[in-house]
Amino acid sequence: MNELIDLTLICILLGLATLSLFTQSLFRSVMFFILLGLILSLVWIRLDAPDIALAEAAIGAGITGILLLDALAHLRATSNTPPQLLQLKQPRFWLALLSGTGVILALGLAVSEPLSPVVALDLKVSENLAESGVTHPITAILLNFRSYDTLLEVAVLVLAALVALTLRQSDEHPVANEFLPNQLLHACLKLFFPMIFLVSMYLLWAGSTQPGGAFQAGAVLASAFVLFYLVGLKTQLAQNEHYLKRGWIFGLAIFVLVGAVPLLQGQPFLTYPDAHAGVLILLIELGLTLSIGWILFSLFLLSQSASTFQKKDTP
Amino acid sequence: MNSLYSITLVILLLSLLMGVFRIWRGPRMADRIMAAQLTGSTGVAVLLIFAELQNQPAARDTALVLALLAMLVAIAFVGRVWGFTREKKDS
Amino acid sequence: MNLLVILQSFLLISGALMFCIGSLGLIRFPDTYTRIHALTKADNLGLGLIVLALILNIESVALALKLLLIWGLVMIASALSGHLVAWEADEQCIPLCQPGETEPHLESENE
Repeated sequence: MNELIDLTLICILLGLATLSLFTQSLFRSVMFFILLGLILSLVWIRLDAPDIALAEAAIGAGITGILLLDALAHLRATSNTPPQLLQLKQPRFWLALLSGTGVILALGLAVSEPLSPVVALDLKVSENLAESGVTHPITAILLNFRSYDTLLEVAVLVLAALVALTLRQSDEHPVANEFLPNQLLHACLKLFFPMIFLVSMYLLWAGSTQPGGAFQAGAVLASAFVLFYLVGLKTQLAQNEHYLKRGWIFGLAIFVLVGAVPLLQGQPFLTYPDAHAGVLILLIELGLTLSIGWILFSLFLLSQSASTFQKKDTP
Repeated sequence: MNSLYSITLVILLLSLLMGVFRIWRGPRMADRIMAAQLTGSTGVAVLLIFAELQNQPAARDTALVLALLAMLVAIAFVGRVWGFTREKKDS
Repeated sequence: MNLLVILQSFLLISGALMFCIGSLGLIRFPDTYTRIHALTKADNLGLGLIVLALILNIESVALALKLLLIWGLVMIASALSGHLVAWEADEQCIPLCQPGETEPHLESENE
């Protein structure tokens, strides 16, 4: 019976992946992709990887679907304009080609390197878990043992938001966001907003003892913001570019600050004092949650009409 | 008990397959969105049963997140994709 | 104990069959509006039955409440999206199918 379940899951997964790649209609392939995210989170649970399943459910079935649908609306808006030809004369085309090939070559080199001797990492983690300040091993790895990686990941997210900002300024066909005049929708959302915020904070809090944490909580938070925006409620905060950017670096700043305090006492960067490690990790995660939610929302917001946005350099 | 859960799971996955067929078939965008909604609820049920079957309490959290975000796609669709076709029809 | 297992298995199987009936309705019904009808009822009841069956197994009250909360959320969400899709379908004048009539075959309509 178990094999039958696994086999069905695999078949659905492969079928959806193939369908989403090879259907002609864009809308259909977006729908298949959203479903793929859903099935993928089932598969991760089946494989006993609940942290990834949570992230996949929040990002794959939620935020990515909305971003893709939004991109579809943009494509509709631009479908009448002829596609721009690839301009071979521009140096940036060759620059992009060169750097792309360079990255592929470097990755190939890295893959062909012989593997270092195997270390029982899981044993090491469970040995040192007591010192990390949290009891869930994955949170301990993400925010204590390998916190450099997490810091850089958040920096990459900020970079992505900056790229979205530059792209928006060159977008000539913004799609207008309209207010949805539906009473049932607004009544239901009054119930749903507090729930989403509550679940986001729950995931953050649960992260120290069970699957959950800043990334999952941030993705759920972002979907609350996006929902807020989709029904046509505009916030003052989102209309000002300065607040937008401050929100992006808020979590990163807290992370760096907390990491830099030990430097004053002559200890290496990002070492937490043992007594307060749990509290500090929670503080960092709170900052990261707010920032990740805000960045993911900004990625959505920045693809919107420029007229809802106050810009200084345009009249 | 576990075999009972497995039988339920197989039936649920079959129903999921039928939902996928409706998305493939269409013919309208609304049908596809509704089928996606159904597969979302089926996914929640599958997760709840996985939580029991594999003794994995975090599956319930995943189900909670899925249940919360299930209507996001429908709202985004009504607000963005259909909103645009309506504008085009008016003009 | 034995009675509990029988009750549970009845609830689980009928819940799963409810989902199947919903999907079957989604495939068999002729137009968008009837499909919305098939779906919003079937998945609420199906999930409800499955949640009831699982609650019988659970000792802690908090977990049982969590399962009920999930059921409630799914009910509201599917009611809401059913309503929204029907609202927009009406706005877009998607035609109703009369009894005995089959839906005109349209491939990738305004996609």
